[in-house]
Amino acid sequence: MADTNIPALVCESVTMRFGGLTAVNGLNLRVPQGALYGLIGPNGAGKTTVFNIVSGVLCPSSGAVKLFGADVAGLTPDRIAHRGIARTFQNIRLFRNLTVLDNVLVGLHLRREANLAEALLALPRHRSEEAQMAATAAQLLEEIGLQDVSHYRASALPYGQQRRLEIARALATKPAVLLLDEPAAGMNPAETEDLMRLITDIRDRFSLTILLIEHEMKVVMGICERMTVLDHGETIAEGTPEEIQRNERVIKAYLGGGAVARN
Amino acid sequence: MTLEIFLQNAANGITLGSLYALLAIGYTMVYGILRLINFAHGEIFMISTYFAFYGTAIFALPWQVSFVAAIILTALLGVVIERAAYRPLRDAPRISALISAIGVSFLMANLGLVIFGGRPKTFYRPPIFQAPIELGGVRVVALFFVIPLLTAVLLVALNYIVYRTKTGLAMRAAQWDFDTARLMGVDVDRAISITFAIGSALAAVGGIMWGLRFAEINPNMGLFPGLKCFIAAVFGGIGNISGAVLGGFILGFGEIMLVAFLPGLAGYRDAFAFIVLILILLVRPTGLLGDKQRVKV
Amino acid sequence: MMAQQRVVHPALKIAAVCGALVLFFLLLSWGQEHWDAYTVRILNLCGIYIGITLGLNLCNGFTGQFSLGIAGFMAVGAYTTALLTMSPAIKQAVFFIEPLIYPLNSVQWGFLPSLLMAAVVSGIVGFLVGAPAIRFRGDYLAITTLGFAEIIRVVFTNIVPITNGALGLKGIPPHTNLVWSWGFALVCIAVMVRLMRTTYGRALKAIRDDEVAAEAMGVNLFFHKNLAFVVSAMMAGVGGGLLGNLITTIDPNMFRFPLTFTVLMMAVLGGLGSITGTVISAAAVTVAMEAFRVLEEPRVILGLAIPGVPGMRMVVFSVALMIVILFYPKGFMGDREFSLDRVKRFAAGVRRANTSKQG
Repeated sequence: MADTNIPALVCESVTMRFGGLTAVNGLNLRVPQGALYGLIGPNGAGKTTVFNIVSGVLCPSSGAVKLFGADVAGLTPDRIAHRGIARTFQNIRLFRNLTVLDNVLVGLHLRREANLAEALLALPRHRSEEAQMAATAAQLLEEIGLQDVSHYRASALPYGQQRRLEIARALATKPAVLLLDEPAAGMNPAETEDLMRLITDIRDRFSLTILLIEHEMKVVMGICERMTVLDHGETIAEGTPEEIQRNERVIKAYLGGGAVARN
Repeated sequence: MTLEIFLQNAANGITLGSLYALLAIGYTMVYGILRLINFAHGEIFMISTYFAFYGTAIFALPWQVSFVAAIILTALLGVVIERAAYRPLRDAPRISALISAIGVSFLMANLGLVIFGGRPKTFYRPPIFQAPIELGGVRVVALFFVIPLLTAVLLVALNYIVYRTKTGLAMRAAQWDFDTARLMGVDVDRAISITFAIGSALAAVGGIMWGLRFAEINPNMGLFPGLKCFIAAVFGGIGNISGAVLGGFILGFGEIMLVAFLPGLAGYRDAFAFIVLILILLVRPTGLLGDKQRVKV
Repeated sequence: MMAQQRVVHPALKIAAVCGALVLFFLLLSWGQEHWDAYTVRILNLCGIYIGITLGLNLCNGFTGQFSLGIAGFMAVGAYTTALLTMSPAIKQAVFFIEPLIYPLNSVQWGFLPSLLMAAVVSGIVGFLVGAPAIRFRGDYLAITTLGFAEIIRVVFTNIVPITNGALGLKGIPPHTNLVWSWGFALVCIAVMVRLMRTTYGRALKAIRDDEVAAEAMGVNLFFHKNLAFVVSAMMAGVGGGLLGNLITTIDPNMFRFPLTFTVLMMAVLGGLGSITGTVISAAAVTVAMEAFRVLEEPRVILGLAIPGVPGMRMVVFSVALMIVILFYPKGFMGDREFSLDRVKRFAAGVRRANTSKQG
């Protein structure tokens, strides 16, 4: 990761077929280090499929996914998490019966040092590690603004805080690349505003590369430096927000009618 | 092995396969609509044989009346079980419903033990089913033709109901998605009740045929034939009626042939179905005719 | 967080726990000699079932991997312990159809090594079952593990030179006593309590709540699910071994699905995901199982001869299970734990309610 010219994340002609349906077709994506990159497109465009491929839930039918130059396509999700990719989910997937704090602690699990025997016997390495984990988790919660609810059950949080907790949990895995799947979905404008600030903020503070799926045009246009537009699995445009907004194909495929009125 | 013995075994295999198929349909229909292993289905089957038994033995009904009454009562029993034990848990975690199903299964098996007694009862077998028929040097009783034929007829009727009637359409719609089906005006509760009624009625037919074939019935006869038939349904592709029938036949036929050709393995007969299950789930989890299902992320 | 809690020096705490344990076991070994055989038997069963049910709860409750194979692992442990503890002479007498194979026919181990061996063997079998099975979810895992348990039972019925087939084993030395059975229960409790306080325990609970999210957070599903599965199988195996050496005869038919059902019922009634709930429920159900035996025995009431009704006990317990799952789906304790803190908080709440009523 020393070489800053290597892009953080690259997709090379990634294709995903489900039976007869091609969900993603020959996607090329190049996310530079430290970027805040957007992946947009209408419903069914294949955005979440891309996330599932990058995070290892799906194995692409063909093509390569490179994390700092190393191919990670086809690895299991937990291996990919170890390599430094973390994600959130479009339909929030917290550990609902665990406390807010425990949710974050699970995110820290993969960086553990103490083995099972040390843990069961409460040997010193395990004990100092647990203490350290608790401190790290508490600090993360504070940075994300959830320190006051750390002992609540995750399912008891309001929607906006659940989304934030998902981000905190992902950050706990100490990722290099963070994938955010529609983080603003279902939020009101004020919450969305807060969230946008949070996202740029954590990018800088944790020196992350962020790939963001978004439906809400305002969010992407507001914070992403570059973006790729998908439609029916095809890449129809790539560029800066200004370029995208002027792009004929994008306007036709995506921004047409309702979306323009909404903006 | 002579041809005669082979044909005799084939007849046994087809008969057992038909019985398994009748039971497997109930599992596959319920799983298709509720995503639940109806553990109690085997006990529904067991109780149906007792309905028929008591009809002839205590109420001295003509066997035709007794059998029909048993089928109707069993269908009602299936509907009642769904109402009482599964419906309240429809929105609960699936495992709760599974535990409930296991509970119902045990409750019925032990109620059977308490009410019917543990000693096996002799099922009344009308002579008409025992009439000998000779075919190509093999001598079998009429029952060996009745069972597969009846199974085939019921299967045609079931296919008609599921694919050609409005009720069937409602059942298929509910299989996909309760909420959407409701929005389309489908009475989901009714569709589920009908599914249980049909599945249980078929189990009753299977139960009566079982009684006619094996003559003895006991309160413990439900669990394992039941589980085998669930396996048959998985084998064929869960949720798929033709698959359940195919799976039932293959399993029944295979079980008989295993014992016939490899008598050394006869002791492993009861493990056979489970080995098939594990292999099928490892190699082709969707079964022979099933569709692919994936977890949505 | 509770504000100021009294701080107790850790060494003092350890000393107190050790002292309590010593007293507890002294009481048990005294009771073994002085309590009547019926009480001792029930208490033994309580200890054994607490351990086994905790094992089941680890897999089914805490990790959310709904397994129905516990009877199979109990069988493995029971046969292993029995074959290792029986004397060569008794083995020769018992295996009269086909002789027991070498070296099993000539060994005789002490109880502890035999139980440890039972843990190892059932752990290995647990891994062999678990490794392929844990990729299935929900009810498919349930039926697959049930299938494996049946396969184990059928195999045990058929490999006569090792298991003596359907006749089973007789004359197993009655090594199990209160110290052994409650020692086992305490070890299981300790393992569970410790495990759930570590990052590994949290990972298991994360898998229960959301497998996909857990994997995305870097939790290796294969390792962690197998961990739960194997530890669960080991507890069942040792429990089975203790059970065999308590009742001194075992045969394959003891280890059928109803046994799994009984253990499952204990776990569900106590709360899938609660250690204290499991302990209380396993003990209570064991006692009730014995107490309700009268339901199945013939007896004479007011001169009327009432015949025994076999199956009545299980009717009662099935109804209890149904009521719990339908009306209190989380069981007695849910996934909470019983603790003095909770009692104090509850008592404080009641007091506050009372004072506010008066005021």
